[in-house]
Amino acid sequence: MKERIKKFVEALRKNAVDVIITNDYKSIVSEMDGFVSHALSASLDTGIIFFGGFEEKRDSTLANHHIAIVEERVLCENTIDAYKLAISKSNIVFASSSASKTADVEGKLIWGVHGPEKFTVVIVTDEEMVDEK
Amino acid sequence: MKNDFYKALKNPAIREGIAKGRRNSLERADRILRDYPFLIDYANDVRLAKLEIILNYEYWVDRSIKTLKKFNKNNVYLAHDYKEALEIIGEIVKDDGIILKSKSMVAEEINLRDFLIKMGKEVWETDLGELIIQLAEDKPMHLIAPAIHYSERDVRKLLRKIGIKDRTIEGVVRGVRNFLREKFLKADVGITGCNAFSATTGRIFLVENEGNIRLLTSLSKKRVSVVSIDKILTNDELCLKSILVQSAFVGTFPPSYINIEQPSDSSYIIFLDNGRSHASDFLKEQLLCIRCGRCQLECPVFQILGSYWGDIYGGPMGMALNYIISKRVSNDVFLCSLCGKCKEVCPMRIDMPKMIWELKRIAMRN
Repeated sequence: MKERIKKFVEALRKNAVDVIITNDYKSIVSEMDGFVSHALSASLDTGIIFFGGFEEKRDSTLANHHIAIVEERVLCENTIDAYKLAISKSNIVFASSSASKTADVEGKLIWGVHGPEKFTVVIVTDEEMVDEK
Repeated sequence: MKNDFYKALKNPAIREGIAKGRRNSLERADRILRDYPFLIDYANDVRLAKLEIILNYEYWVDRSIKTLKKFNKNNVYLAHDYKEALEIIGEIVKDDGIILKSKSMVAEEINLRDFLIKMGKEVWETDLGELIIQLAEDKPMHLIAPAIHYSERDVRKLLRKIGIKDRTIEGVVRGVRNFLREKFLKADVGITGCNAFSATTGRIFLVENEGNIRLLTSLSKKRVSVVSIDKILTNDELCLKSILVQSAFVGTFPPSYINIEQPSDSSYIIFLDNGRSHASDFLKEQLLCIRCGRCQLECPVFQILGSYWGDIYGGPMGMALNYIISKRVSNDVFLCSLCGKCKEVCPMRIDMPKMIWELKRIAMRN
């Protein structure tokens, strides 16, 4: 696996995100149930992913499962660069790094308090590889 | 001794809740700062920018208003004090029914929820912790974790007030999701504070983990933001750095959601001064605070009394900030042992002990 993708995957896994790596996302996504967004950019080191559009923001939060398609070419070295790339593409920008969560009751982590209970990131790479989950 | 102190001392849940929160949060925060050392550089960048801004609020507020007025000619306000802020908000929402709020300390500062309820509005806090506080008719115990002192059993009992009767915490949270989802879909007004405001672009940066702010800012028919002027930063990059540092220092990095609101002609923005621009020189440094709440968790007095120690804002960061807002010095300052832990852990390196020492002198003179 390419070094930069490996780094991104590590960051995503730290954030408890499900990760799929593929060079054919359409066939994978067609079998999944959830709201699909295409990332404007993403930060390699933190796993923060930027999206654009007002409806996209609303609908991705109303869904139970948010599926983010992140193409390798939109990966940036850090969050600031990722923001700059995103804002150059859209005026309405928002970012996610995991599913909705709370630890407000005795510090217990509960997913899906208001937004999606599940957040899956599909990394699209041109690398020849078998889908990895 | 204030009655509130006795109340706190008699309530072991405060000490236990804060101790548990402290263990969870600080361990994570330390790991985050080790894994992402650039966050310390970000904190320094934010500190340097804020040091310039706090010396010239007149310029930066004016610049922020001018930026916003390019997008929104009519709905940008500057409230000099809390009464003015409430009057403005009251006028904006006078014909509306359901009002949803995000967790916001500036809203606490102006006592916004009570004001709106007295106007006859249906008001709901949408952050789970803050909803618990609303139902308990209590005050937030910590800047980031307001209901840190409520046990799972307490929470289940409180949520029965809104018809949520599940026995498991997962079920209770699902109940809150369903209850508030219905409110989100019907909301007339969504009110938030602001974690950072960009004077160059007029964008508002809001950070969260639950998704309530994202729903509130997407679904409410009318958007109201209350921005205390100490949240103004020069540009978007510094705003982003500020919110990342804020979440890191209390162990919630990376935040699940970063919301960046583009200024538009349909939103209402109220800048709140409330004493900040006229803060005494020796207290100005407190306005660097990014509200991470780290100083609260580390403070030995706060660990016993929680935010009962302090009027509006509790703990070390509250001592100077409360004085800036109210111009009254409280005997609360004498509880501080000047141990210096707050300064040591503050991402903005605010010298709170020095300010509290000066406040003690003022209190002695009074």
